[in-house]
Amino acid sequence: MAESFNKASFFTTSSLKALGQNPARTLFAFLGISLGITSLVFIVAAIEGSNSKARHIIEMMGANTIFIRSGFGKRANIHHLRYKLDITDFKDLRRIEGVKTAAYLLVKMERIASASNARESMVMGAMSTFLETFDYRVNRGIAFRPTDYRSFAKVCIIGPELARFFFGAANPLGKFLRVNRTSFRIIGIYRSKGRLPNGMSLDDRLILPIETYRKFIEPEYKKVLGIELKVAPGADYQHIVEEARSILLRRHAKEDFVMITPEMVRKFLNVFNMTLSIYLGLASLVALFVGGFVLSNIFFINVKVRAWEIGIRRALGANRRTIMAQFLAESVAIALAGAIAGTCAGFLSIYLVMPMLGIPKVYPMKSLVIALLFATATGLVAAIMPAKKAADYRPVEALRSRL
Amino acid sequence: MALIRLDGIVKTFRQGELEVRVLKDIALKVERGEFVAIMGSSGSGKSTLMYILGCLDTPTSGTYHLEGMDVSGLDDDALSAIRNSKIGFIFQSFYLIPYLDVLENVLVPTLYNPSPGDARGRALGLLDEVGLGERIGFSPGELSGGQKQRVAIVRALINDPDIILADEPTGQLDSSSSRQVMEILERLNRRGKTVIVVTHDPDTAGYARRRIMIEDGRIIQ
Repeated sequence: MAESFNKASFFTTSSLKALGQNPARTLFAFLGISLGITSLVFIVAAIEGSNSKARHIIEMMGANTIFIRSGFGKRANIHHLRYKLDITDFKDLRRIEGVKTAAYLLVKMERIASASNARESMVMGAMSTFLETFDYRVNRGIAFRPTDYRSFAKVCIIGPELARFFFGAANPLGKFLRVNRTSFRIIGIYRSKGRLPNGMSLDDRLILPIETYRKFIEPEYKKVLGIELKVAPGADYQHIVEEARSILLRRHAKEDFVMITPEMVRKFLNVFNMTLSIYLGLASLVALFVGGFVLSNIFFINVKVRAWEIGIRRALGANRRTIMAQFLAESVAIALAGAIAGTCAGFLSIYLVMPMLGIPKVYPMKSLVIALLFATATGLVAAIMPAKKAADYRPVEALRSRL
Repeated sequence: MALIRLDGIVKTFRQGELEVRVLKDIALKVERGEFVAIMGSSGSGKSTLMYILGCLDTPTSGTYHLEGMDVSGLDDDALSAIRNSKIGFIFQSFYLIPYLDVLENVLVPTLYNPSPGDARGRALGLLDEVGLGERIGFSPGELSGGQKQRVAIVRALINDPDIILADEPTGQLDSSSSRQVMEILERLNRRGKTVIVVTHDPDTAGYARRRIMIEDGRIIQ
C-alpha cells in the first residue's frame, strides 16, 4: 500500500461517514445553518454595497458641493414642470460669500425630429458634472468632452428609448436629431435608467451640454430644475448651507425646494444602513440561532442513538476529550458545509435582490470568512452540550445500551 | 510478579435505596501468558469482574495491580490509555461501527494511540492472517458473524496489547465459527498473549488452561 496511515485524515473521513449514516438528520441541520449564513452574507453585502454607494455619490457630488433641487408645484405634469427655482435665485445664491462656482440644470419639453420621425421629449441642459451626479452612464459612444462645453458643440447624448424610437436596431451614433431648427450629432447613449415610481420614463431624454442648450434651446430661460454650488476651500460649509436656505426661504416664502449635501446623503445612507443592519442582523442571528438549536437537538439524538458506539470507542481507548472532539468535529463539519452553501445562496440572493433595493451588487470575500467563523462557532456551541453528554457516559452503561 | 493481581475487590451498585453487592471480596492472580476462562451463570458477577479487569469500571473497594501498578485509583485519562495500549477487547455482539469499513474498524483504536506507527500495514497483515485480506473494503453489514468477530479480534490486536479480554466471544456464533474464533485465540495465547475469556459455555471454556468459577459474586473454584 503506497499511502501511509494518517490519523487526521482518518478522523475526518470517519466523522464524515458518521454524518452519512443518517442523511435526513444531517441535511436538516445543514439547512438550518445555511439559512442563517445566507442572511448573514446578504447583510454583509448590503452594508458593503450601500457604503460603496454612499462613497460613490459623495465622490460624484464632491465633498464641497451643495445641490438644490426645485420643487415641481402642485399642478405639475410631464409637459408643465412648474419649477419653483429660477435664474434670479441662482444669481442670489452665487453671490454668497465662500461660494466658488455655481451652476444650474435646465429642462424643457421639445419636439425632437429625425429625417423621418418626430416626438415630444425632454431636452436637458447638463453641467459637466451632471451625467455623473445623476447617474447617467454612457454605455455606447462617449460622454461630453470639456471642449464640447466650451465650443457650444452641437452634440447630444440620448436615452435608449429615444434611440429605439428613431433608429430601431440601427446604430444611432454619428446620426443627427433636430430640436427646433438645429441638428445635434449623437455622440453617446446612456444606459437604461428605467422609470420613476410615477411611471415617468427616464430613458427618453436628449441631453445637451449646458452652454449648447443655452444657446440653441432656451436663450430666455427663467426656471431651473436644479442649482449646484461649489464651496471654496476653507469656507464655512455649514454656514453657507444655512445662508443658502435662508435666502431661498426669504424669496419663496415656503420650502418648495430640496437641499442635498454630501453630509445629508451620508446621514441618510447611514440611517438606511443601520436599519438594514439591525433588521437583517437580527434576522440572521435568529436564523443562526434556530439553525444551532436544530443542530444541537439533532446531536442530542445522535449521541443517544450512538451510545453503544461511544461505549466501544471508550473500550478501545478513547478518553472523554476524544469522544467530545469526535462529536464537535461532526457538528463543525455540518456547520462548515452549511457556511459554504449559505455563502453561495447568499451570493445568489445578492445577485437577485440587490438590484430591487437599489444597492450595488458586491460579493465581499470577507463574508466567506465571517460565514466560516460564525458557522464554526455555531457548530461548536450547538454540539458542546451533546458532546459533553457523550463524554459523560460511563463506558459500561454505554456498551450495555445496545442490548 | 503477576500480570494481574486483584485483592479484596468489592463492587456494589445502588438500586434506589437498595445496595447490591455484585462482587464480594474477589482475589485473583493471572500470570503473563495464561489462558483463563472465567465461568459463571448470568448474574454471577462475571461481566462486572471483566469490566473491572478491563479498566472499564473501577471497584468500590480493593486493589487492582496491573503489571505491578495499582490502577484502582487512576483517573479516566490514565485508564483510557491503559485500555488503549494494554488491553484488547472482544465482545459477544462484535460492536463494529456500522459506517466504517473493515479496515477502518480495525484502525479505530489507533486513533487514540499517541504513537500508532505503521498501523495500516499491521492491520492489513493481521486481516490477512485471519483470512479477511480480501474483505478490507466491506462494511460490517456485509459480513457473517464469524467474519465480524474475526474483524473484532484484529481490532483488539492492532495496538499489540498484552491482554486479550473476550466477553462471550462465541455467544452469537455457530459451532464452526466458534471453533475458528477460539482457535485464533489459542494461537494468540501460544504466541504469548494473556487471554481471559468470560463465558458460560463449557465448550468455549474448554480452550482455556485454567478455569475460574464465579457464583454470586465470589470465586468458588
